[in-house]
Amino acid sequence: MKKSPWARLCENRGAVVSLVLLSVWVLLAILAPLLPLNPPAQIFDGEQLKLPMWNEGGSSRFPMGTDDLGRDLLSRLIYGAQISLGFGFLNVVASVLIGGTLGLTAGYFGGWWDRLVLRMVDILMALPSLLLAIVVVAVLGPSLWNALWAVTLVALPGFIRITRASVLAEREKEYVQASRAFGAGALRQMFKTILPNCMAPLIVQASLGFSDGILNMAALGFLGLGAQPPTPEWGAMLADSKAYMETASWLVYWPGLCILSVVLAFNLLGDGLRDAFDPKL
Amino acid sequence: MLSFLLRRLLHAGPTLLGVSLVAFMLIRLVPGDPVLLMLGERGGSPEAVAQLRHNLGLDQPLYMQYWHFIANAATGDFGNSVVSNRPVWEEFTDRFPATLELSLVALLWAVLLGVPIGVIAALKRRRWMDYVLMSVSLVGYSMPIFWWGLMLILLFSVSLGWTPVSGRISAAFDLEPWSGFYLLDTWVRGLGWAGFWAAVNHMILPALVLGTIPFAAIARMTRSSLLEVMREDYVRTAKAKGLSFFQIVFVHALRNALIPVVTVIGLMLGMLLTGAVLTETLFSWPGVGRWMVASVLARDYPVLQSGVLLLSVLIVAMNVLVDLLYTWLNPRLRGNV
Repeated sequence: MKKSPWARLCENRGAVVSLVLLSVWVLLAILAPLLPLNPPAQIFDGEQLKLPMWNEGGSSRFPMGTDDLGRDLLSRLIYGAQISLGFGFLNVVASVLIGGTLGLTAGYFGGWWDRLVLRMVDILMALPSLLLAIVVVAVLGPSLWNALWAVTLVALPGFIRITRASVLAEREKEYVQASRAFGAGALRQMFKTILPNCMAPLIVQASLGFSDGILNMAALGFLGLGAQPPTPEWGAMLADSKAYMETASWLVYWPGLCILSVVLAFNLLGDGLRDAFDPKL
Repeated sequence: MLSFLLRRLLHAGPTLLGVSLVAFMLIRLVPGDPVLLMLGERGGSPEAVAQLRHNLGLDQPLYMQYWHFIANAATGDFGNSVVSNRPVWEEFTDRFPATLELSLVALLWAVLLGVPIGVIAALKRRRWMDYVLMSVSLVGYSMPIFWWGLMLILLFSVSLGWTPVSGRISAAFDLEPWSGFYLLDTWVRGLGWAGFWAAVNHMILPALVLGTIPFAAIARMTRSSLLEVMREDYVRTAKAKGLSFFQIVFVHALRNALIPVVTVIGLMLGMLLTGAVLTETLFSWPGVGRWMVASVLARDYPVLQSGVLLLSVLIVAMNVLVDLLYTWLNPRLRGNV
């Protein structure tokens, strides 16, 4: 009997590890307000640049130490997960909704609409991606939400192309012809008949889109064009602690490791999903 | 082949027109008066404001502004920077060699290491070697490179004191650029080993950082492509003929497996040339990426508008080249073009 993709995913060690890791991060992000943490933006006077508790001079009051302003690093890292995962999620949802709809309609209707959408994709792909995001943020003004729009715009071409390609592959198949014979309208055909059969590549793309989005948001934060102080965003935290790199290296290690772990997990999950949907390799 | 090239170029035309329109409109979407914003930090009398507005052509209707933008760009006039008052084209050609040199070195190590690692992983499929190599490339692929750069600076520059942290060459060397490639210019200008070594030293960390993601992508691509090819009929035929494993892999399979890898490398170069923004910012590398970020921060709109267009021309040209290379490498496609 053929195994379901889910069963195959559960046999993939990498995918299981990534699912566990992501669950931990999601739980931490959701439960952050319930955890016994110092408020992430609170400045503790006289407690600047405290070492982590496993170093001499550290205390359990700030388990991972404090930053240059005297804010609790552990708390900022955990609240940072809310930002990275939350905005990563919004980025993927927006990309799927906008990119998926454009790709679906372009592939289904064809004609001038298809050509227009493809031309838009060409133009977006001809623009240097991070640079495009930077210019968009420069136009809109630096903020977390504007960074989200910029990163979504950059992600669109991938989603449009993937959806369009799989719609083209499905459109002429017999079950679609049959549903037309039964009188299904364009909307019903697109969303009820064709779309469910195009989900596999879209889900893989969504998982990879998560990691791209989180990386790009963090990069914008690092350049000072994303989250603004005192928001505990990982990329922005790295930029803030860069100046203290030589004396307070713990401030630089952890935010980067957090970004790496989340991005790595989504890439692993994406690889696992691809293998699960397409088990030929 | 020629007709294929022409078709691709004809297709690129409207795309670049679209890009120019996007670059043009983006700058004009900035809330507020760009002239006042540009003069913001520098201040200016009403006459100066009017003068700048006139110089930038902002006192004309939008469609005329756009027409001037593309008509001038077509003749190689990309306007002047507001900050330096120099032609954008000059500023671009000053910086581009720095980016090109860095990208080429980054891509060189990425290919030289990525392809063999992909091949080894594919040949040792599902063995511990494969898992180790693929884990390394997955980590590389997921790397926030701005953090990776900081870690390398912390280790090699701060702790070990081996490499400098910024620039292209030590201030002690007064290098008048010849080609703009410092690895070459240090020889041309007679700075000898000491100068060359200084340039190499400045290049190591940025190139390592910039090449990390391409390296990982190339290793992953090589592995999956080779695995796919190894299942092809002609490989089975080669096995049946009793060819040695070495001959099968390196003479028959790898050649075909590398076709998609070559196209990925080509696309990577286009991305590196324009996407070195983070690396260049981190290492104060005087290339185009850092220039664009500086222009964003300084609100140097003529530079942004023309810079985005110039970089897009590069990407599109690179994509056309990759397409040509792909059809040339893949005989099965030659009949169709």
